[in-house]
Amino acid sequence: MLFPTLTFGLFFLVVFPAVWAARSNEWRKLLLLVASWVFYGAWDWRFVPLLIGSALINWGTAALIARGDDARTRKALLIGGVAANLSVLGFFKYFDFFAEQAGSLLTLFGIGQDAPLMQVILPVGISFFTFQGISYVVDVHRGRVPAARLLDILLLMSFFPHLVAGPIVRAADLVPQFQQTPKLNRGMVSMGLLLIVWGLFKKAVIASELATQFVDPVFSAPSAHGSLDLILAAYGYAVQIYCDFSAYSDMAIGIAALLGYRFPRNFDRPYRSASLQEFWRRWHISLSRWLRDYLYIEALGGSRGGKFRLYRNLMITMLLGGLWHGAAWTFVIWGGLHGAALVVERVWATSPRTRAIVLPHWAKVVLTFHVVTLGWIFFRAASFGDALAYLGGIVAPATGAVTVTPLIVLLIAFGLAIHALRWDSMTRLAERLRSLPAPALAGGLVAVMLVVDAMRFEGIAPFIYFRF
Amino acid sequence: MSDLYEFPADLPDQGDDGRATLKWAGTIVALATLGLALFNPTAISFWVDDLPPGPTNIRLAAIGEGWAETADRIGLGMGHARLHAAWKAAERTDWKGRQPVEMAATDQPATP
Repeated sequence: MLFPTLTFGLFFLVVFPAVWAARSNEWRKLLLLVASWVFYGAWDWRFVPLLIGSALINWGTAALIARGDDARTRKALLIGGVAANLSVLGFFKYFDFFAEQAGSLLTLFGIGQDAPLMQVILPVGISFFTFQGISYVVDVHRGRVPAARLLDILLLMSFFPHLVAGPIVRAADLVPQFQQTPKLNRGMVSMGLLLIVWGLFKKAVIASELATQFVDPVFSAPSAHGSLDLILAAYGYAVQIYCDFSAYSDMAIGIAALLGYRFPRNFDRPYRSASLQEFWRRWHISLSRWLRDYLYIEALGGSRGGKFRLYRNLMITMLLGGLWHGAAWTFVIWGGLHGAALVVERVWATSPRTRAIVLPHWAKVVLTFHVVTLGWIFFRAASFGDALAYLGGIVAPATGAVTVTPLIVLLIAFGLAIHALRWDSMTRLAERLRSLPAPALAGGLVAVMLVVDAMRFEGIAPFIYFRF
Repeated sequence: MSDLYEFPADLPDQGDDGRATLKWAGTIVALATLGLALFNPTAISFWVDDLPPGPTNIRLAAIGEGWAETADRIGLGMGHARLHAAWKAAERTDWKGRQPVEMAATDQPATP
């Protein structure tokens, strides 16, 4: 059930009045829980018990940690809880990948045998809800949040707006909201509607059009295209993935707002970053914060222990962050590239030889964007070989066709230009909309949605991050 | 830059979180739904066509098609159709402002 479809629209038309008509907060949460399971079950009912089981494990582990007096027992419970979450993720997401790699390794040593592949089906959103579970157990262990009630944890992990592609909302952000009766004010409604429509435009018009009309054909046959097509398709993919993923986050935040809940911002105009470090503060903010807090600082020790340990920790964090996106070497290389670039930035900033060389801000932005776009080529390519062939096509003399159209160039330019907007442009617009009478706001919504629908490509491609 | 961690839906509180706001929001959702059903009837018929076949869905498909035909007759979906045709034309336009003639002809909106 994709957000920008009529099926989801009808689902929301049932959920919205039912939730606000609920007699009490407990009934409201129960309704939301059932609605979330229906939403998740629309993909595959078989995985609803997995979602419930995962929530039960995290709730039980956190409850035992909270009750425990002995530090060693609490630590053992924490390790058990984290391991249980990682086992679920590891089995469903990485089993076939590692089995295949083990098979290749055995073949290399002459012990040739077929890897025992199980063709495991990847449950939608598993990377998101397992990370949410881990953060909850760790936070309870650290005393950052109290252990919550079963209903609240079930809803925290199943809540349909963020369930399949984030943002990764932590217990500290959402559970206190669940414990109070939500209230709807005009600001939340106008901002929620604005985010939904803006997300719809970014996904249905920019991302889908770029993907179907240009990026997918170029990436599937790079040798048939000239250098200009290859360069523009790489820029096009940078815009597509931003418009695709940030659209989902915007719609998720907007839908949650209409139900009375607040989600944290997940994107903040990432391509205006002047460094990779800044990029990761603006791109998929909920994941980069998660990796920073629970992996880089909590598990690896962060910058404690000298600069070489810092560089090592940065590399490990980014390599695992890459692997989180998918079980493929291209994602590991993508993470490694970001890790290496982050290390180079640190070395550059601290080395006496290079510290004095200061690039103008615009040059740093352009450089950062191109490093990020280089990474996207590995992220998008089907294999490492394909990515190298793609890069080879860019530097080789142009022999292939040039298929880019003026509309595609316009969409790429537009996707980049929106990064120049003020950070509070959306808030300022929402402030104006909140004072409008309902028929005027509804009329405006209809007009914009009709324009978006007329401009969109037939059908809606699944969101890129659904497979993560 | 600061480590941004904001809640975008948090606008300054104006104390307007009572039943009147719920009524306001409900009216917007209801009117927008009605408007989209009126002015984009083909979306409904396309959606119904994609549903798995069955007695209920066949009846729904008939209702959807009937509504699309009625809306088409009275010109409700004309604005959407024209805009869609213009977008399709822009999609095919090349750097010299040309577009393939045989394809362009198929995208003209139906005249009421």
